[in-house]
Amino acid sequence: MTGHPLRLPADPAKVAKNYLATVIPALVAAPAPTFGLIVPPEWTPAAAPRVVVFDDSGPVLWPVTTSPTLRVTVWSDGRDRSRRIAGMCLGVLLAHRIPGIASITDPTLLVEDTDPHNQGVMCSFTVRALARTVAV
Amino acid sequence: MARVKVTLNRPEVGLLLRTAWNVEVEALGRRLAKAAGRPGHPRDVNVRTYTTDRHVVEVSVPAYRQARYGALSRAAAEVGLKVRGRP
Repeated sequence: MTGHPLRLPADPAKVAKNYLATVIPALVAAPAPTFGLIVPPEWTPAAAPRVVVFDDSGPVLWPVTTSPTLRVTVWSDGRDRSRRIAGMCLGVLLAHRIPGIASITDPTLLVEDTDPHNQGVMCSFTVRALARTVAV
Repeated sequence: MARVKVTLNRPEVGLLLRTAWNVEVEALGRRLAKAAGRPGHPRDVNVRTYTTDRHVVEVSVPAYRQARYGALSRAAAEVGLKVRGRP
C-alpha cells in the first residue's frame, strides 16, 4: 500500500496502563498494585499485586484507526483480590474517558486461573480499544 | 421506491442458520484452533461443535493460556475475528 500519509499506530495498551496506574491504587485495598506491560519473571504472590495490559492485536482501518484487543491480567496472592482489582480495571476502562483512546468497548467477562509459572492467582479480561493513528 | 419487506423470523431462515454454513463455520473454527494451539501440545485446544438455533463451533483453551498469553484473543486477531463478550 503506497500513497498513504505517514502515520503510526497508537499504543493504547501503554495509555491504558498509565491511566490505570494513576486511578486504580486509590480504589482498591492495600497493598497498591504495580502496573506494567509485562509480568516480571521474578514476580511471586508475596509481592504486591501486578496489573499487566497486553496488546493482542486486532482490526485496522489504515491510515485512520487501529482497534486492538487489550488484555488486562491481574496477578495476586488470592482469588478475591485479583477479581476485585480486575473488576475495578474493567469498570474504570469502560466508565472513564481516557485521553489517547477514542473508545473502549466490547468487554469480556473475567476469567480466573492459577499461573503455573509463579503460582499467582490470575484474573483476566479483554476490551476493544479504538485509537486514531498518530501523525509523525 | 418500492420497499422490499424482509421477514427474518421464519422457519426457513432458522433452517438455514442451523444447516447452510456448517462447513464454513467448522473450517473457521479449525483455523482458530490451529492459531490458538501450540505445536506438540494437541491437548491445549478443545474444539466442540453443537447446534442451538444456529450451528456453533466452540474453541477453548485452558484459562491460564488466555490470561497469561492471550492464546485465544491473539488467535482471533490472526484469523480476523473480533473479540467480544457473549451477549
